[in-house]
Amino acid sequence: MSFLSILYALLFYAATILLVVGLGRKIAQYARTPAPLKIPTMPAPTTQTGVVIRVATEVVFFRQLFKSNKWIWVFGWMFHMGLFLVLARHLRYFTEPVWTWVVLIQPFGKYASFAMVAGLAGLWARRILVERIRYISAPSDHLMLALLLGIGLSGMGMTFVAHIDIVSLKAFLLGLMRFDWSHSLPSDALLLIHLLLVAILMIIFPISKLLHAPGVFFSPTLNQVDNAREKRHLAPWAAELDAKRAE
Amino acid sequence: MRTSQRSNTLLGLATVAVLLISGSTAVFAGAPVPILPEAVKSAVEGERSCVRPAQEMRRSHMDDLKHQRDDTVHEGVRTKRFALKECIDCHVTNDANGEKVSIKSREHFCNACHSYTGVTLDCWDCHASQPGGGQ
Repeated sequence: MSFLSILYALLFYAATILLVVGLGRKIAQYARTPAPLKIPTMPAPTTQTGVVIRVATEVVFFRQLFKSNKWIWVFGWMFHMGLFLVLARHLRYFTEPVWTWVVLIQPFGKYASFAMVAGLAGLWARRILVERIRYISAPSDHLMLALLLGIGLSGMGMTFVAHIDIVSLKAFLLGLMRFDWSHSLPSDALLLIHLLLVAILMIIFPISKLLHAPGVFFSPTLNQVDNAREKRHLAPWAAELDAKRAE
Repeated sequence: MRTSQRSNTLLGLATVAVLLISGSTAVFAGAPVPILPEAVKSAVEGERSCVRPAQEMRRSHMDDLKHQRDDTVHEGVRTKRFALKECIDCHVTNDANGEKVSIKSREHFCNACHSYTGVTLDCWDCHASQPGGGQ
């Protein structure tokens, strides 16, 4: 294993642990955060199944954003769906044999990268060109878009401009997953940039605004059933106070 | 505070366990890699070499082949260097019985890496994948 490979191997082990533990802690924190009030955005579903459908529509189609602003929805949805396909395409580097559905979506994932980068460019233009949004944009808002754009462009560079040795890359990655450190990472500049940016993303993910990904599932205005009249909403800590008062 | 510390420790232990379990299935087996047969002849007389250095072939053989296709189909220029037939003549694979294998087998020179990386090909819809014809 070359020096560079050792460096990247350590970087990715560290990044993976930080991502998994950090995200786990955040999700645990979100799950424990009290939702003392019944506040679903009306009209809300009256059954639990309805809520599942509502959350799913929100997560897959960004329904609320669609209703409030069409052009932001176009860019945001393009980026997220593009990213989803691109990520799914990357599964070929971590599975052996490669799953059939992953083989089938390879060409779609390739062209989804254009949608992803176009969406990011649109979202960044929004931060710069819409005065109201520019005023409330923090440096981290811009840097996050730059980071994702850097990952997208360096990846597309390898697919469409300067190819890399993907067989060696897969051997290196499968090696990391199996604690077999005999395969070296190819040292193409685009690949090293791409992987470095991805590691940075993995590390900052659990302390960044990207936590909206798990966070959307814990949004009380989205995930509550409209049954305030049928069933009294009582937070556990409020139940304790209630019991004390009854004594 | 106490409970959150304990749950953090638990979470850490769970992560380590997941990492170990995911790795332990093949800890001693090592990472699977494609098995490639040796080329039976050389492009340069007396040397063990392909039409371009191996590092370049691994990265951009597809560009050479596509360029060759355009030259041949659009311009009518037929050269031998990057001809698919030449690839197949050198990189022929024999199975355990000494029979030539077709593209359908993972032992085939092209398919070994192509199935490893999930890259599908349409070369063999028309071209023969073994020397002397035959799928």
